[in-house]
Amino acid sequence: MDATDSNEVMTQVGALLERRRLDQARALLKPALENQPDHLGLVLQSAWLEFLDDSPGVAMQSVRHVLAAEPQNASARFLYFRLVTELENYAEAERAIIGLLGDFPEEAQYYGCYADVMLRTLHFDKALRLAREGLRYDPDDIACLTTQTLCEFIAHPTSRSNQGLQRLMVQDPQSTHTIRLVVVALVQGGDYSGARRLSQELVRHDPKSESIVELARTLRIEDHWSMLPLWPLRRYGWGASAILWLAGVLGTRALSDVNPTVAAVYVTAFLIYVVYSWVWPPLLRRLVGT
Amino acid sequence: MSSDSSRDELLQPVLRDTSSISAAPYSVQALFLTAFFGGPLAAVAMLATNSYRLRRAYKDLPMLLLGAAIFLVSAWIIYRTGAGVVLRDWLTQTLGQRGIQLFFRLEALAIAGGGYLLHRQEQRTSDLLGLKRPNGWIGGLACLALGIVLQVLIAVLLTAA
Repeated sequence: MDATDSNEVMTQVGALLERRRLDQARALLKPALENQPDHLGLVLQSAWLEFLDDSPGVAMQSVRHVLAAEPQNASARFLYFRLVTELENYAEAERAIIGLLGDFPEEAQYYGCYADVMLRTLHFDKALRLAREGLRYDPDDIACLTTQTLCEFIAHPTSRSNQGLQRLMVQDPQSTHTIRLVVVALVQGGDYSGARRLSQELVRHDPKSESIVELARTLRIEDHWSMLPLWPLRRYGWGASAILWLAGVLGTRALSDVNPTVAAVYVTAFLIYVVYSWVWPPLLRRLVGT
Repeated sequence: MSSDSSRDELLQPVLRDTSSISAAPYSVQALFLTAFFGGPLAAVAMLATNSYRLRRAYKDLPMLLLGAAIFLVSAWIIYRTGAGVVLRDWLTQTLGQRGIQLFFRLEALAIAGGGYLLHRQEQRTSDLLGLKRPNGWIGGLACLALGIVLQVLIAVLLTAA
């Protein structure tokens, strides 16, 4: 196999990796690498393949090999950043992405990836600023729009309008990624039924994804008819629990002065509701899980 | 020029080493239950633990001290002043024998609510990204025990003196 053939294989593998056809990419890459084990382009493609196939250890070995020979290789540096991010070595990830941004200051995707690291390390303001900076260079960049969407969810959880999500839906409406964010938006708005239906679509789209199947299962539980009485607690969280407790205490006290029988009924109903709210959701999860 | 300097400032690293990286806080559930069962000082202890995990202990210190001060001042008023005697009688008449206990429980929940507002962005981010949270039982029980011991000590001091 000569250099032209190797370049041809690299192009084909790149196209297959973009479509997540990992088995086909592996089948194409294996004989090429056997012929030319030191071809850096092929080694880098195999590193991307292992990364996408959830083998970060193998990918890291290959990418280190490429970086030792070509320390300025942008694709290898970006893969190294992705790997250390996945391994939760965020200080090293930040160092790597700042290096890339130093060399490619107008690459919107790098700003989006840096913003994602900032969000994961709970630097909310910086994450939002980075996403906005990236969108100045490319208003349609998916990574920046995703971080912007998440930041808007965090800052305004009850808002019906999310600019980042609206733009993602125009830019990339069919992607699993966008639909997952729509599911999050529906859950935040309290529309469990809509979120469940959409999550079932996601399962049909990608039935092998464990996280999507788990998401659909969780939403099936959340949307179950027997969870309806718990709607105020699920919608308003622990604030609603505090108000429920206060209503229980004050209501019991007030009613016991007026009519002890009514107070007893009230206390019984209150206790049944509290026990139901504690016992039923985990029980339902077990029942649906089996 | 100003855009470049703003970009340079944006690209300054903030994660210098592992110790400078914020960790996900204890959940709102852990905070609520610790406050509910442990009282105001347990709530303050839980909030202080979250502030430390989020690497913002110094920033939150005034609010943490305010939370502790609210408890100390209210306990002092209730146990050591004439107005406190009136308040105690009113609480007992209105809410029964456990009126004072309920009052401090409500105060604990208010402190926990204030603390949630302080850390709401971090709490929501952790929920949304599914960040790994610490075990609420260990931290919650430790804060609960600390809060109860301190509150009993303070009550003993205030009623004995």
